Amino acid sequence: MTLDLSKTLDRVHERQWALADVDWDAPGADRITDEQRPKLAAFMADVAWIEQVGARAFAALARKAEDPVLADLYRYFHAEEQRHANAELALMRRWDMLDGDEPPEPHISIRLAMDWLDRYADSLPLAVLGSAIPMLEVALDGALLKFLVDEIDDPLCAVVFEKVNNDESRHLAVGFHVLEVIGRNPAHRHAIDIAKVLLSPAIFTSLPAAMPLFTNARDNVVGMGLDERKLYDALARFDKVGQRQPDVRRNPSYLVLKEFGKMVANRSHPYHVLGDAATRIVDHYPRRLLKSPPSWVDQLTAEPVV
Amino acid sequence: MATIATTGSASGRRALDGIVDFAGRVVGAADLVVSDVEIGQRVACIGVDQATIDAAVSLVEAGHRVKVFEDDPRLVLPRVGLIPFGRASLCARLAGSTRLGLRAVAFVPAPGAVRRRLGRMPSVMEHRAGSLHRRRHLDDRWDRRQLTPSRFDRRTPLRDDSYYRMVDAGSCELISWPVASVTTSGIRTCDGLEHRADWIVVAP
Repeated sequence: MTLDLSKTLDRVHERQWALADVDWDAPGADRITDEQRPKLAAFMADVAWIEQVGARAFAALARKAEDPVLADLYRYFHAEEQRHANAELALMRRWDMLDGDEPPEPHISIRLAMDWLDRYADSLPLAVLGSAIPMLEVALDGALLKFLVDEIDDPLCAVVFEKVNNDESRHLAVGFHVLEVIGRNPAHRHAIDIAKVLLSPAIFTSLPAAMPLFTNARDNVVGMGLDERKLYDALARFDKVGQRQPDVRRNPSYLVLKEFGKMVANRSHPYHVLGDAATRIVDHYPRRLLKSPPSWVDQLTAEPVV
Repeated sequence: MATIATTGSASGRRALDGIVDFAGRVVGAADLVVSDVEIGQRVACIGVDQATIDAAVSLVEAGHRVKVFEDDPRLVLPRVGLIPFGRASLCARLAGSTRLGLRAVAFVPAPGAVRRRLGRMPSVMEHRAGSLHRRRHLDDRWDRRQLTPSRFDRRTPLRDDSYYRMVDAGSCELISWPVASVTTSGIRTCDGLEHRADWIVVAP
Protein backbone atom coordinates (compact mmCIF):
# COMPACT_ATOMS: atom_id res chain seq x y z
CA MET A 1 0.00 0.00 0.00
CA THR A 2 1.47 3.34 -1.02
CA LEU A 3 0.53 6.50 0.78
CA ASP A 4 0.11 9.76 -1.12
CA LEU A 5 2.25 12.04 1.05
CA SER A 6 1.00 15.25 -0.62
CA LYS A 7 -2.62 14.35 0.20
CA THR A 8 -1.61 13.47 3.75
CA LEU A 9 0.10 16.84 4.08
CA ASP A 10 -3.07 18.55 2.83
CA ARG A 11 -5.10 16.66 5.45
CA VAL A 12 -2.60 17.69 8.12
CA HIS A 13 -3.03 21.34 7.06
CA GLU A 14 -6.81 21.03 7.14
CA ARG A 15 -7.10 19.28 10.49
CA GLN A 16 -5.08 21.54 12.72
CA TRP A 17 -6.58 22.31 16.12
CA ALA A 18 -5.47 24.49 18.97
CA LEU A 19 -5.71 24.39 22.75
CA ALA A 20 -7.98 27.42 22.51
CA ASP A 21 -10.57 25.25 20.68
CA VAL A 22 -11.12 23.23 23.87
CA ASP A 23 -13.26 24.50 26.75
CA TRP A 24 -10.92 23.63 29.63
CA ASP A 25 -13.48 24.82 32.19
CA ALA A 26 -16.26 22.52 30.94
CA PRO A 27 -17.97 20.45 33.67
CA GLY A 28 -16.59 17.00 34.51
CA ALA A 29 -13.21 17.78 36.06
CA ASP A 30 -14.50 16.61 39.47
CA ARG A 31 -15.07 13.08 38.17
CA ILE A 32 -11.48 12.17 38.92
CA THR A 33 -11.59 10.20 42.14
CA ASP A 34 -9.19 10.75 45.02
CA GLU A 35 -8.02 7.18 44.55
CA GLN A 36 -7.20 7.81 40.87
CA ARG A 37 -5.54 11.19 41.34
CA PRO A 38 -1.97 10.36 42.53
CA LYS A 39 -1.43 7.49 40.07
CA LEU A 40 -3.07 9.41 37.24
CA ALA A 41 -0.87 12.43 37.95
CA ALA A 42 2.31 10.32 37.61
CA PHE A 43 0.96 8.60 34.51
CA MET A 44 -0.12 11.84 32.79
CA ALA A 45 3.23 13.46 33.58
CA ASP A 46 4.99 10.51 31.92
CA VAL A 47 2.68 10.62 28.89
CA ALA A 48 3.17 14.40 28.42
CA TRP A 49 6.96 14.15 28.69
CA ILE A 50 7.08 11.10 26.41
CA GLU A 51 5.09 13.05 23.81
CA GLN A 52 7.67 15.81 24.06
CA VAL A 53 10.53 13.35 23.68
CA GLY A 54 8.69 12.01 20.60
CA ALA A 55 8.45 15.56 19.31
CA ARG A 56 12.24 15.87 19.51
CA ALA A 57 12.61 12.66 17.49
CA PHE A 58 10.30 14.04 14.78
CA ALA A 59 12.41 17.23 14.72
CA ALA A 60 15.44 15.08 13.93
CA LEU A 61 13.53 13.20 11.23
CA ALA A 62 12.52 16.47 9.56
CA ARG A 63 16.21 17.18 9.00
CA LYS A 64 16.91 13.70 7.64
CA ALA A 65 14.18 13.37 5.02
CA GLU A 66 15.33 14.10 1.48
CA ASP A 67 11.77 14.22 0.17
CA PRO A 68 10.60 17.80 0.88
CA VAL A 69 6.99 16.68 1.42
CA LEU A 70 8.07 14.08 3.97
CA ALA A 71 10.33 16.66 5.64
CA ASP A 72 7.33 19.01 5.86
CA LEU A 73 5.17 16.24 7.31
CA TYR A 74 7.76 15.51 9.96
CA ARG A 75 7.99 19.22 10.78
CA TYR A 76 4.23 19.26 11.34
CA PHE A 77 4.35 16.05 13.37
CA HIS A 78 7.05 17.60 15.55
CA ALA A 79 4.65 20.47 16.31
CA GLU A 80 1.69 18.12 16.75
CA GLU A 81 3.50 16.00 19.33
CA GLN A 82 4.28 19.20 21.19
CA ARG A 83 0.59 20.11 20.97
CA HIS A 84 -0.35 16.75 22.47
CA ALA A 85 2.10 17.31 25.32
CA ASN A 86 0.65 20.81 25.87
CA ALA A 87 -2.92 19.45 25.81
CA GLU A 88 -2.04 16.72 28.30
CA LEU A 89 -0.50 19.31 30.59
CA ALA A 90 -3.66 21.42 30.24
CA LEU A 91 -5.70 18.36 31.30
CA MET A 92 -3.44 17.98 34.33
CA ARG A 93 -4.04 21.61 35.22
CA ARG A 94 -7.79 21.06 34.84
CA TRP A 95 -7.58 18.13 37.21
CA ASP A 96 -5.58 20.20 39.67
CA MET A 97 -2.48 18.05 39.38
CA LEU A 98 0.04 20.82 38.79
CA ASP A 99 2.00 22.79 41.31
CA GLY A 100 0.89 26.24 40.14
CA ASP A 101 1.17 26.29 36.35
CA GLU A 102 4.59 24.65 36.31
CA PRO A 103 5.00 21.38 34.41
CA PRO A 104 5.75 18.41 36.67
CA GLU A 105 9.33 17.30 37.12
CA PRO A 106 10.08 14.54 34.58
CA HIS A 107 11.00 11.13 35.99
CA ILE A 108 14.74 10.52 36.01
CA SER A 109 14.39 7.86 33.28
CA ILE A 110 12.72 10.43 31.03
CA ARG A 111 15.41 13.00 31.81
CA LEU A 112 18.08 10.50 30.75
CA ALA A 113 16.15 9.70 27.57
CA MET A 114 15.86 13.45 26.83
CA ASP A 115 19.61 13.91 27.22
CA TRP A 116 20.32 10.90 25.02
CA LEU A 117 17.93 12.05 22.31
CA ASP A 118 19.17 15.62 22.39
CA ARG A 119 22.72 14.39 22.00
CA TYR A 120 22.29 11.71 19.36
CA ALA A 121 18.97 12.12 17.52
CA ASP A 122 20.33 14.40 14.82
CA SER A 123 23.19 12.02 14.05
CA LEU A 124 21.12 8.83 13.75
CA PRO A 125 20.19 7.67 10.23
CA LEU A 126 16.58 8.12 9.09
CA ALA A 127 16.26 4.33 8.84
CA VAL A 128 16.77 3.94 12.60
CA LEU A 129 14.63 6.81 13.87
CA GLY A 130 12.02 6.26 11.15
CA SER A 131 11.66 2.64 12.33
CA ALA A 132 11.70 3.33 16.07
CA ILE A 133 9.00 6.02 15.97
CA PRO A 134 6.17 3.78 14.65
CA MET A 135 6.93 1.20 17.34
CA LEU A 136 6.60 3.79 20.08
CA GLU A 137 3.52 5.28 18.43
CA VAL A 138 1.67 1.95 18.35
CA ALA A 139 2.33 1.48 22.05
CA LEU A 140 1.28 5.03 22.90
CA ASP A 141 -1.70 5.17 20.57
CA GLY A 142 -2.80 1.54 20.76
CA ALA A 143 -2.61 1.04 24.50
CA LEU A 144 -1.88 4.03 26.70
CA LEU A 145 -4.21 6.65 25.22
CA LYS A 146 -7.08 4.17 24.65
CA PHE A 147 -6.70 3.03 28.24
CA LEU A 148 -6.93 6.62 29.50
CA VAL A 149 -10.13 7.27 27.57
CA ASP A 150 -11.67 4.06 28.95
CA GLU A 151 -10.68 4.73 32.54
CA ILE A 152 -11.32 8.46 32.97
CA ASP A 153 -14.92 9.62 33.35
CA ASP A 154 -14.26 13.27 32.53
CA PRO A 155 -15.94 13.84 29.12
CA LEU A 156 -13.31 16.42 28.17
CA CYS A 157 -10.65 13.72 28.40
CA ALA A 158 -12.39 11.82 25.57
CA VAL A 159 -12.71 15.03 23.52
CA VAL A 160 -9.01 15.83 23.83
CA PHE A 161 -7.78 12.29 23.20
CA GLU A 162 -10.04 11.91 20.17
CA LYS A 163 -8.19 14.87 18.64
CA VAL A 164 -4.85 13.42 19.74
CA ASN A 165 -5.71 9.99 18.31
CA ASN A 166 -6.72 11.49 14.97
CA ASP A 167 -3.29 13.11 14.73
CA GLU A 168 -1.54 9.95 15.88
CA SER A 169 -3.29 7.85 13.24
CA ARG A 170 -1.76 10.08 10.54
CA HIS A 171 1.65 9.82 12.24
CA LEU A 172 1.31 6.03 12.19
CA ALA A 173 0.21 5.92 8.54
CA VAL A 174 3.26 7.96 7.53
CA GLY A 175 5.48 5.93 9.88
CA PHE A 176 4.43 2.62 8.30
CA HIS A 177 4.82 4.13 4.83
CA VAL A 178 8.38 5.18 5.68
CA LEU A 179 9.14 1.68 7.01
CA GLU A 180 8.16 0.34 3.61
CA VAL A 181 10.15 2.97 1.70
CA ILE A 182 13.26 2.30 3.80
CA GLY A 183 12.83 -1.42 3.15
CA ARG A 184 13.04 -0.78 -0.59
CA ASN A 185 16.50 0.80 -0.25
CA PRO A 186 19.30 -1.13 -1.99
CA ALA A 187 21.43 -3.47 0.15
CA HIS A 188 24.42 -1.13 0.18
CA ARG A 189 22.30 1.66 1.72
CA HIS A 190 21.24 -0.71 4.49
CA ALA A 191 24.88 -1.69 4.99
CA ILE A 192 25.93 1.97 5.26
CA ASP A 193 23.15 2.68 7.78
CA ILE A 194 24.11 -0.35 9.88
CA ALA A 195 27.78 0.71 9.84
CA LYS A 196 26.81 4.27 10.85
CA VAL A 197 24.82 2.98 13.80
CA LEU A 198 27.42 0.46 14.92
CA LEU A 199 30.16 3.07 14.80
CA SER A 200 28.10 5.64 16.68
CA PRO A 201 28.41 5.94 20.48
CA ALA A 202 24.60 6.27 20.42
CA ILE A 203 24.26 2.50 20.16
CA PHE A 204 26.15 1.80 23.40
CA THR A 205 24.14 4.30 25.37
CA SER A 206 20.76 3.56 23.78
CA LEU A 207 19.84 0.55 25.93
CA PRO A 208 20.75 2.17 29.29
CA ALA A 209 18.63 5.15 28.19
CA ALA A 210 15.71 3.13 26.80
CA MET A 211 15.37 0.32 29.36
CA PRO A 212 14.51 2.45 32.42
CA LEU A 213 12.17 4.57 30.25
CA PHE A 214 10.15 1.56 29.09
CA THR A 215 10.19 -0.16 32.47
CA ASN A 216 9.09 2.98 34.30
CA ALA A 217 6.31 3.66 31.75
CA ARG A 218 5.16 0.03 32.04
CA ASP A 219 5.14 0.18 35.85
CA ASN A 220 3.11 3.38 35.80
CA VAL A 221 0.45 2.03 33.43
CA VAL A 222 0.25 -1.23 35.29
CA GLY A 223 -0.03 0.77 38.51
CA MET A 224 -3.00 2.55 36.94
CA GLY A 225 -4.67 -0.81 36.29
CA LEU A 226 -3.86 -1.41 32.62
CA ASP A 227 -3.53 -5.06 31.75
CA GLU A 228 0.08 -5.48 30.62
CA ARG A 229 -1.09 -7.76 27.83
CA LYS A 230 -2.89 -4.84 26.15
CA LEU A 231 0.42 -3.00 25.96
CA TYR A 232 2.09 -6.04 24.48
CA ASP A 233 -0.79 -6.62 22.05
CA ALA A 234 -0.28 -3.06 20.83
CA LEU A 235 3.41 -3.77 20.31
CA ALA A 236 2.46 -6.89 18.35
CA ARG A 237 0.80 -4.60 15.79
CA PHE A 238 4.28 -3.47 14.87
CA ASP A 239 5.19 -7.09 14.17
CA LYS A 240 2.07 -7.58 12.01
CA VAL A 241 3.01 -4.70 9.69
CA GLY A 242 6.10 -6.64 8.66
CA GLN A 243 4.05 -9.78 8.09
CA ARG A 244 1.80 -7.88 5.69
CA GLN A 245 4.51 -5.94 3.84
CA PRO A 246 7.49 -7.86 2.42
CA ASP A 247 9.38 -4.58 1.80
CA VAL A 248 9.21 -3.75 5.50
CA ARG A 249 10.92 -7.04 6.33
CA ARG A 250 13.93 -5.92 4.27
CA ASN A 251 14.54 -3.03 6.69
CA PRO A 252 17.23 -4.15 9.20
CA SER A 253 16.26 -1.51 11.78
CA TYR A 254 12.69 -2.78 11.71
CA LEU A 255 13.86 -6.36 12.22
CA VAL A 256 16.03 -5.39 15.20
CA LEU A 257 13.27 -3.30 16.76
CA LYS A 258 10.69 -6.02 16.15
CA GLU A 259 12.86 -8.49 18.07
CA PHE A 260 13.33 -5.89 20.80
CA GLY A 261 9.54 -5.45 20.96
CA LYS A 262 9.10 -9.23 21.33
CA MET A 263 11.65 -9.23 24.13
CA VAL A 264 9.78 -6.44 25.91
CA ALA A 265 6.47 -8.25 25.41
CA ASN A 266 7.77 -11.52 26.85
CA ARG A 267 7.55 -11.04 30.63
CA SER A 268 9.72 -14.10 31.31
CA HIS A 269 12.59 -12.86 29.12
CA PRO A 270 15.84 -12.05 31.01
CA TYR A 271 15.59 -8.54 29.52
CA HIS A 272 13.10 -7.68 32.26
CA VAL A 273 15.52 -8.69 35.01
CA LEU A 274 18.04 -6.32 33.49
CA GLY A 275 15.38 -3.64 32.84
CA ASP A 276 14.10 -3.76 36.42
CA ALA A 277 17.66 -3.60 37.77
CA ALA A 278 18.50 -0.65 35.49
CA THR A 279 15.38 1.17 36.68
CA ARG A 280 16.29 0.62 40.34
CA ILE A 281 19.81 1.95 39.70
CA VAL A 282 18.49 4.94 37.72
CA ASP A 283 16.06 5.75 40.55
CA HIS A 284 19.10 6.41 42.73
CA TYR A 285 20.98 8.36 40.08
CA PRO A 286 21.88 11.71 41.66
CA ARG A 287 20.03 14.50 39.87
CA ARG A 288 22.91 16.90 40.43
CA LEU A 289 24.95 14.81 37.99
CA LEU A 290 22.46 15.50 35.20
CA LYS A 291 23.38 18.34 32.89
CA SER A 292 20.85 21.15 32.59
CA PRO A 293 17.91 20.11 30.41
CA PRO A 294 17.92 21.22 26.76
CA SER A 295 15.92 24.40 26.15
CA TRP A 296 13.27 22.62 24.02
CA VAL A 297 11.99 21.19 27.30
CA ASP A 298 10.79 24.69 28.24
CA GLN A 299 8.34 24.68 25.32
CA LEU A 300 5.89 22.59 27.34
CA THR A 301 3.01 24.81 28.47
CA ALA A 302 -0.64 24.47 29.43
CA GLU A 303 -1.39 28.06 28.42
CA PRO A 304 -3.54 28.19 25.21
CA VAL A 305 -2.75 31.85 24.49
CA VAL A 306 0.70 33.43 24.82
CA MET B 1 -2.84 47.72 -0.34
CA ALA B 2 -3.70 44.05 -0.43
CA THR B 3 -1.14 41.74 1.08
CA ILE B 4 -0.92 38.13 0.06
CA ALA B 5 0.57 36.21 2.95
CA THR B 6 1.89 32.75 2.54
CA THR B 7 3.63 30.21 4.67
CA GLY B 8 5.19 26.84 4.07
CA SER B 9 8.46 25.55 2.77
CA ALA B 10 10.21 23.61 0.07
CA SER B 11 7.24 21.36 -0.63
CA GLY B 12 5.02 24.27 -1.55
CA ARG B 13 3.78 27.55 -0.19
CA ARG B 14 0.17 27.97 0.85
CA ALA B 15 -2.02 30.93 1.69
CA LEU B 16 -2.32 31.81 5.37
CA ASP B 17 -5.83 30.82 6.46
CA GLY B 18 -7.77 33.56 8.16
CA ILE B 19 -5.45 36.49 7.46
CA VAL B 20 -8.30 38.54 5.95
CA ASP B 21 -10.16 38.36 9.29
CA PHE B 22 -7.20 39.56 11.36
CA ALA B 23 -8.32 42.56 13.43
CA GLY B 24 -4.88 44.17 13.58
CA ARG B 25 -2.80 45.50 10.72
CA VAL B 26 -1.17 43.36 8.05
CA VAL B 27 1.70 44.84 6.11
CA GLY B 28 4.35 43.62 3.71
CA ALA B 29 7.85 43.74 5.20
CA ALA B 30 9.09 46.11 2.52
CA ASP B 31 6.20 48.54 3.18
CA LEU B 32 6.52 48.66 6.97
CA VAL B 33 7.07 52.10 8.49
CA VAL B 34 8.50 51.40 11.94
CA SER B 35 7.24 54.70 13.38
CA ASP B 36 3.64 53.60 12.62
CA VAL B 37 3.93 50.88 15.26
CA GLU B 38 3.10 52.18 18.73
CA ILE B 39 5.25 51.24 21.70
CA GLY B 40 3.83 48.20 23.48
CA GLN B 41 2.17 46.76 20.39
CA ARG B 42 3.01 43.17 19.53
CA VAL B 43 4.45 42.52 16.10
CA ALA B 44 4.59 39.13 14.40
CA CYS B 45 6.85 38.62 11.39
CA ILE B 46 5.86 35.62 9.30
CA GLY B 47 8.31 34.00 6.93
CA VAL B 48 11.89 35.10 6.57
CA ASP B 49 13.47 36.93 3.69
CA GLN B 50 15.83 39.91 3.58
CA ALA B 51 13.02 42.47 3.95
CA THR B 52 11.45 40.65 6.94
CA ILE B 53 14.78 40.30 8.73
CA ASP B 54 15.53 43.98 8.16
CA ALA B 55 12.04 44.89 9.42
CA ALA B 56 12.39 42.69 12.53
CA VAL B 57 15.78 44.20 13.36
CA SER B 58 14.49 47.77 12.90
CA LEU B 59 11.47 47.03 15.09
CA VAL B 60 13.58 45.58 17.90
CA GLU B 61 15.97 48.53 17.70
CA ALA B 62 12.94 50.82 18.06
CA GLY B 63 11.98 48.98 21.27
CA HIS B 64 9.09 46.84 20.01
CA ARG B 65 8.21 43.29 21.01
CA VAL B 66 8.74 41.08 17.99
CA LYS B 67 8.05 37.41 17.32
CA VAL B 68 9.53 35.90 14.19
CA PHE B 69 7.68 32.85 12.86
CA GLU B 70 10.29 30.88 10.97
CA ASP B 71 9.67 27.16 10.57
CA ASP B 72 11.90 26.68 7.54
CA PRO B 73 15.08 28.62 8.35
CA ARG B 74 17.22 30.32 5.75
CA LEU B 75 20.93 30.73 5.71
CA VAL B 76 21.95 34.06 7.24
CA LEU B 77 25.48 35.30 6.61
CA PRO B 78 27.28 38.26 8.16
CA ARG B 79 27.42 41.45 6.14
CA VAL B 80 30.94 41.67 4.81
CA GLY B 81 32.59 45.08 4.58
CA LEU B 82 35.71 45.96 2.67
CA ILE B 83 37.84 43.99 5.14
CA PRO B 84 36.21 40.85 6.53
CA PHE B 85 36.39 40.53 10.33
CA GLY B 86 36.02 37.12 11.94
CA ARG B 87 35.99 33.61 10.55
CA ALA B 88 32.36 33.75 9.42
CA SER B 89 32.94 36.92 7.39
CA LEU B 90 36.12 35.50 5.94
CA CYS B 91 34.35 32.31 4.88
CA ALA B 92 31.48 34.29 3.35
CA ARG B 93 33.96 36.49 1.44
CA LEU B 94 35.84 33.40 0.25
CA ALA B 95 32.58 31.84 -0.96
CA GLY B 96 31.83 34.95 -3.02
CA SER B 97 35.36 35.09 -4.43
CA THR B 98 35.28 31.38 -5.29
CA ARG B 99 31.98 31.81 -7.09
CA LEU B 100 33.43 34.69 -9.15
CA GLY B 101 36.60 32.71 -9.83
CA LEU B 102 34.64 29.70 -11.02
CA ARG B 103 32.58 31.88 -13.35
CA ALA B 104 35.77 33.35 -14.78
CA VAL B 105 37.20 29.91 -15.59
CA ALA B 106 33.94 28.36 -16.72
CA PHE B 107 35.24 28.08 -20.29
CA VAL B 108 38.16 25.83 -19.21
CA PRO B 109 37.34 22.22 -20.12
CA ALA B 110 37.19 19.90 -17.11
CA PRO B 111 35.67 16.48 -16.34
CA GLY B 112 32.04 16.63 -15.16
CA ALA B 113 32.85 15.25 -11.70
CA VAL B 114 35.49 17.94 -11.10
CA ARG B 115 33.16 20.65 -12.36
CA ARG B 116 30.35 19.47 -10.07
CA ARG B 117 32.69 19.26 -7.08
CA LEU B 118 34.06 22.74 -7.71
CA GLY B 119 30.56 24.07 -8.36
CA ARG B 120 29.45 22.97 -4.88
CA MET B 121 32.37 24.72 -3.15
CA PRO B 122 30.83 28.21 -2.79
CA SER B 123 27.66 26.75 -1.29
CA VAL B 124 29.67 24.58 1.13
CA MET B 125 31.69 27.64 2.18
CA GLU B 126 28.52 29.67 2.66
CA HIS B 127 27.01 26.99 4.87
CA ARG B 128 30.25 26.93 6.87
CA ALA B 129 30.11 30.73 7.18
CA GLY B 130 26.49 30.49 8.35
CA SER B 131 27.43 27.87 10.93
CA LEU B 132 30.25 30.06 12.29
CA HIS B 133 27.93 33.06 12.34
CA ARG B 134 25.36 31.14 14.40
CA ARG B 135 27.99 29.77 16.77
CA ARG B 136 29.31 33.25 17.37
CA HIS B 137 25.98 34.83 18.26
CA LEU B 138 23.67 32.08 19.51
CA ASP B 139 24.55 30.46 22.82
CA ASP B 140 21.56 28.15 22.99
CA ARG B 141 22.08 24.87 21.13
CA TRP B 142 18.39 24.39 20.34
CA ASP B 143 18.03 27.93 18.92
CA ARG B 144 21.12 27.29 16.84
CA ARG B 145 19.69 24.05 15.55
CA GLN B 146 16.31 25.58 14.79
CA LEU B 147 17.97 28.35 12.80
CA THR B 148 20.16 25.96 10.82
CA PRO B 149 18.82 25.58 7.29
CA SER B 150 18.31 22.12 5.84
CA ARG B 151 21.31 20.77 3.96
CA PHE B 152 18.98 20.46 0.96
CA ASP B 153 18.11 24.17 1.10
CA ARG B 154 19.23 26.01 -2.04
CA ARG B 155 17.73 29.47 -1.44
CA THR B 156 19.90 32.58 -1.67
CA PRO B 157 21.52 33.40 1.69
CA LEU B 158 20.36 36.48 3.61
CA ARG B 159 22.76 39.02 5.15
CA ASP B 160 22.47 40.38 8.65
CA ASP B 161 24.66 40.99 11.69
CA SER B 162 22.06 41.66 14.40
CA TYR B 163 19.28 39.09 13.88
CA TYR B 164 20.95 36.17 15.68
CA ARG B 165 22.15 38.46 18.47
CA MET B 166 18.59 39.69 19.03
CA VAL B 167 17.21 36.14 19.07
CA ASP B 168 19.89 35.15 21.58
CA ALA B 169 19.10 38.14 23.80
CA GLY B 170 15.37 37.30 23.66
CA SER B 171 14.40 40.72 22.29
CA CYS B 172 13.29 38.99 19.11
CA GLU B 173 11.43 35.77 19.97
CA LEU B 174 11.87 32.91 17.55
CA ILE B 175 8.79 30.75 16.97
CA SER B 176 9.94 27.78 14.95
CA TRP B 177 6.58 25.98 14.77
CA PRO B 178 4.68 25.97 11.47
CA VAL B 179 1.85 28.51 11.32
CA ALA B 180 -1.57 26.81 11.32
CA SER B 181 -3.79 29.85 10.77
CA VAL B 182 -4.39 33.48 11.58
CA THR B 183 -7.27 34.38 13.88
CA THR B 184 -8.84 37.78 14.53
CA SER B 185 -6.45 38.32 17.42
CA GLY B 186 -3.25 36.59 16.45
CA ILE B 187 -1.46 33.61 14.98
CA ARG B 188 -2.06 29.97 15.75
CA THR B 189 0.91 27.67 15.48
CA CYS B 190 0.77 23.91 15.07
CA ASP B 191 1.91 23.30 18.65
CA GLY B 192 -1.63 24.36 19.58
CA LEU B 193 -0.85 27.82 20.93
CA GLU B 194 -2.22 31.18 19.90
CA HIS B 195 0.20 34.13 19.78
CA ARG B 196 -1.56 37.47 20.24
CA ALA B 197 -0.43 40.18 17.82
CA ASP B 198 -1.36 43.73 16.85
CA TRP B 199 0.64 43.77 13.65
CA ILE B 200 1.52 41.05 11.19
CA VAL B 201 4.49 41.68 8.93
CA VAL B 202 4.68 39.26 6.02
CA ALA B 203 7.38 38.48 3.51
CA PRO B 204 6.55 40.25 0.22
